[in-house]
Amino acid sequence: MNDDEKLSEKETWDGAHLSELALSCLADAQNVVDPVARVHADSCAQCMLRVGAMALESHDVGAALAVAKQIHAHEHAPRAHRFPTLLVAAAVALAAVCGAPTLMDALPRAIAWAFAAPRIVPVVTTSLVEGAQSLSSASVSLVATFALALIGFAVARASRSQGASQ
Amino acid sequence: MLGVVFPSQRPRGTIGAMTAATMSVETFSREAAELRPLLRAVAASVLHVAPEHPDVDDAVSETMRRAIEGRARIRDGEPLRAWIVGIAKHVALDVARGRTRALKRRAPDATSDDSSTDVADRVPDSKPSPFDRAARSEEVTRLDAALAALPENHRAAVEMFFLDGLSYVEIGKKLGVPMGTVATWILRGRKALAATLIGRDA
Repeated sequence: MNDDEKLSEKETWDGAHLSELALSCLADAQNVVDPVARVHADSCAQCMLRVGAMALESHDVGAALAVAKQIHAHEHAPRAHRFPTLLVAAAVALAAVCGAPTLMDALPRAIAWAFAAPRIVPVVTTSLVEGAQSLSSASVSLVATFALALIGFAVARASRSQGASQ
Repeated sequence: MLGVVFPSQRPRGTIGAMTAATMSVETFSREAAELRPLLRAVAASVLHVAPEHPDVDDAVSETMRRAIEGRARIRDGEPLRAWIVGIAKHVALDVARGRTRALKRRAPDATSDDSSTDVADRVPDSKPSPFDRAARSEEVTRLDAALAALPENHRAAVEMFFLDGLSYVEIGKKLGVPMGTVATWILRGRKALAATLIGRDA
């Protein structure tokens, strides 16, 4: 076998025209057909049209195989954005185990606070109302408007990114 | 590095790699010009006209122009033949559509019996429609089945040629068989796969 390998005369010709094998080689732009056959393909309308049809067929088959290969590669690729459920569950379990002593210590304080809450809440509320009354109503409105605008912006962004991901 | 397969960059029948984006226009044009007879055949086949028809020359010239201008877009490892045949197909379809429109403008009421006027309708455009995309999964399944049904050596040759971009001679060397045998395997494999693709539209 060498790089100058050509189709034999028997393989190249089918009567006065080129064989299907030779036409296929020309359609695939393989330099394996002798020059006489090339000249014939360039001058014979029948052979040229068959070469063209085969080249189109070859192009379509190649494109379909490339798409199939791409799809298979995509199917077998690891999912980059998959939620790591197992890792998160393990981390939560670990945190619960490690944090258990501290939580147990904090439990009496939490219970005490719960009992104190009914007395604390009215005091805090009264303080806030008095603080707000001490400010001018204009500045309160300004801060409230600004806060509402920020919340609206955040909601809009969140819904847009959710829409894009669907 | 772009591994584009060019006809004259290889020893006869083998493939060489070259960078399309960095090579000069002259070098690229010379390489693409070797494919001119094939492009004429493709254009004539799409247009269903004799190769001497002026539309064929127009389509080939336009194909060469688009190829030279867009040579930086060749994907890594993509054979120049496949890339440029794709351009020729689209250009020829454009020419066919233009011809149809011109004929309709000239004789809006006449029903032409020239079969070449509906070429654009008969040759499928390779741009995927939503339906194509939906059917793609089924098509891939059938293509896989057709590929699996090929004899092992045919399948190997087909994959090496279409997916790895190897030449017939290189495939022959890899598989230890004569080039003529490879040509036969690829011809049969391609016919089987093309029949599967045609079945898609049936």
